[in-house]
Amino acid sequence: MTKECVFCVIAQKRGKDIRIIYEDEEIIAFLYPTAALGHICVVPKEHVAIFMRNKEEVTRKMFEVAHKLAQTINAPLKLNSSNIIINTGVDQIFSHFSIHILPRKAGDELGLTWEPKQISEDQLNTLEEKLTGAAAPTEEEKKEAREISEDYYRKYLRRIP
Amino acid sequence: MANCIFCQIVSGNIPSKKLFEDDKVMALLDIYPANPGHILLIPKEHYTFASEVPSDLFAHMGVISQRMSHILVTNLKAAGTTMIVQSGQDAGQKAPHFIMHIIPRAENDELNLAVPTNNIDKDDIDELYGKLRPLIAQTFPGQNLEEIEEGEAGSEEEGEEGEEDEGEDEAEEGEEDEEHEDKPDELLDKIEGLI
Repeated sequence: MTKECVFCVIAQKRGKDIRIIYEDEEIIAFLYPTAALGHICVVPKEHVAIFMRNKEEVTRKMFEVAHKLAQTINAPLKLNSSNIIINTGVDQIFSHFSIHILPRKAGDELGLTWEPKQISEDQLNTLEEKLTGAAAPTEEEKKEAREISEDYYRKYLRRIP
Repeated sequence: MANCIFCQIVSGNIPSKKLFEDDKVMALLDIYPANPGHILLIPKEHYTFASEVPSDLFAHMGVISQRMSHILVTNLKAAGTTMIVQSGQDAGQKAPHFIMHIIPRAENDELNLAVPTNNIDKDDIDELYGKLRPLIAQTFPGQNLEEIEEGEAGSEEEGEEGEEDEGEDEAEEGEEDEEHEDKPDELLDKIEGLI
């Protein structure tokens, strides 16, 4: 994409004062001065808006690099905990798919935890059916699912200010 | 591991709502979810921390988490998803078995899963970058990080330019993104025509 996307600018190595720590033909990783010291973003060089639309082979490589970087970054920081996180649609900061690596230390107040919700056996069974397609979907339902999927992308793209 | 509940689930000794499995991983519904539909993706072999998981297995789990995210959107009509790994006590890890969480998200679901915005000191980043250079060369043979040149960092003029650029970027992001969806996609075109 062109200059308008922050991560595309970085991928084209036109970003100011950006410390790039990994690069190959398809992906780039850099120190991102946002959540914590050692915060790393791993992004595809090609502009991909959301996780689900990334090429699986690129996803594979991004996760492999993220995994290695998560260990590497903690050594000089003398830390042993980290979060690796992808937010899509909700809480997604930029319209360019990215994996965030956050080195964590005790009391850093970065959050990223949750309180478990109560859920009934019936609810779980319904969810299981929906997610496995245990009740085999009719052609009509398949078509609807496809349209919802595409509709989601459309809504998501519209929502970005 | 005998006393690990997730190993017991993998071996079938403890029942679970299994959604997917292959020879290396299993995906199941969390019975204590952050949101209903919360998926736990686990390696079948026992690892506690991300650092113990082989990189290729981690990468495989990443691909499966992408497919699971897609399914949460299509089948549950989730407004979004969060994929999160919590490795280590300070990162909020609670289970003794490594987990990749895939959480369906709703607008205003009030989950504290946004990547926080702080202001990290640039000099600290440059110092860290300096320490990283030899480590990166070790982790990724062939990756040689550029040295920071004297006076390269933080000349005032450069700094201002940078900020200006960024403001523009954010303002025009949405518009640009729509343009980017120009690729022929009949389904998208069709839906757009209905809006």
